[in-house]
Amino acid sequence: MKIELTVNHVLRVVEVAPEMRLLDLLRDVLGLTSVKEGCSEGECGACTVLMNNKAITSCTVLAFQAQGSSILTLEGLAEGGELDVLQQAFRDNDAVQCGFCTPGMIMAAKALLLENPSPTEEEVRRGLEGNLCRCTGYIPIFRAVRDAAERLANHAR
Amino acid sequence: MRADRPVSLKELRELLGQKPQNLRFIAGGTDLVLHLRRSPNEDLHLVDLSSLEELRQIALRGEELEIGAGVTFDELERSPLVRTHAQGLAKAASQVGSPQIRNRGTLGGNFMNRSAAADGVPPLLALEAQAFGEDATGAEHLFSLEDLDTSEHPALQNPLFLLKGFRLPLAKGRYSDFAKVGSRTGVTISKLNLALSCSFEEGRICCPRIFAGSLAPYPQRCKEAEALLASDTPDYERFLRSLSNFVEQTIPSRGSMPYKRRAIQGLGDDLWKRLQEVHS
Repeated sequence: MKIELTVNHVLRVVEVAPEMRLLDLLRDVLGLTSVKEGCSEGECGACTVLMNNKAITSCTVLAFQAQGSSILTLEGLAEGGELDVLQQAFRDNDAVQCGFCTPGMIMAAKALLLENPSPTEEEVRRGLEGNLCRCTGYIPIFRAVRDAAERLANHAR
Repeated sequence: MRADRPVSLKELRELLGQKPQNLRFIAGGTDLVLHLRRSPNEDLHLVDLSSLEELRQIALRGEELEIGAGVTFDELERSPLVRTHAQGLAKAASQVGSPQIRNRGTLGGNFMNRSAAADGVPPLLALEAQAFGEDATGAEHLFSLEDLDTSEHPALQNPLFLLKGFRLPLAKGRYSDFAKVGSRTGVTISKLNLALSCSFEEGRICCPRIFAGSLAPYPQRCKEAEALLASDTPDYERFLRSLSNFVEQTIPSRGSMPYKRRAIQGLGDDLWKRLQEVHS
């Protein structure tokens, strides 16, 4: 079946099988390999993308359900070669080690900041509770998200 | 396998009118997509309900709060109407999975999936919810969730039955609450949960309803604990003991019984303390 959706600001028309997951469409058909497959059951958050500005696990959504929606992956964040403020903050705060969870973490944080531009520590923790990291530890990640929020607030002033 | 994605109830009714074979509704997909991965040879006709706005409404209708089956946990948690009239349900929704799961998972899917650990169902029972929907002939069905413990409603055995939502009677000053315990704080499946609703009359707790989930295939009503809450002088120790007794009587030979009879006291303690704060 044919579906139409916007992926990283570009309108795409793609042929999908009924059982194909959004994760498979993004990775295998559209080549967006920032979308990682971890647990395959919505627990680890490695496959997190934004669907109409809400964080979702793309392993628990079928591709045909994304008809008409707007999908944002990590590849869609850096505009004109400039890193997104969240990407820069993750880099500056040493919030990346092996990097496998990082795209999902950043996309979950992106959804959080879109809705709540100045989250408290507790709100950051809750916003990222669906993303697992096995090596960096969460402290630099939480610090990076709050740092990004601060940079955005300073930029707005 | 085939899939359809109707964008209105009218379009869905036309589709159902053709009596499709092997039909399976899909909403958020947080359970069904995992099932499909485990059963790749299942030849289903998937019908996606996630774009039906008619199933995503939360509204006051007369003396009832109506919640569409397609309302997500995130929407439930945020809804001022749910937070006002069904706090326990809003609280349960806030503790489901992660933000990613709450953004997709729906109350209707939580109920229809019939998991013993469904967090949405005990609060619905405590709040005397009725489910409503229609079958492929257009016939409407309305049934009490509480009756399903002893007998399955025929509509639920019909794969073409479309659950449209839930109706919760409004009761002036009704209070409700929810507590759960899992293997960790966030993104956890309930090992045990407890939902309560009650109102207050002349300084007394009135009409309490308490349901324990993740104890049996369907949430169980704790009548003795309810009677203790409604007594002239509710006693904390007796209340907790009655909850423990209830677990012992419900799952006497289950390996998890020794854990759950203690765990339910922790949940009872949470509910009791918050109830005292509201009541005093």
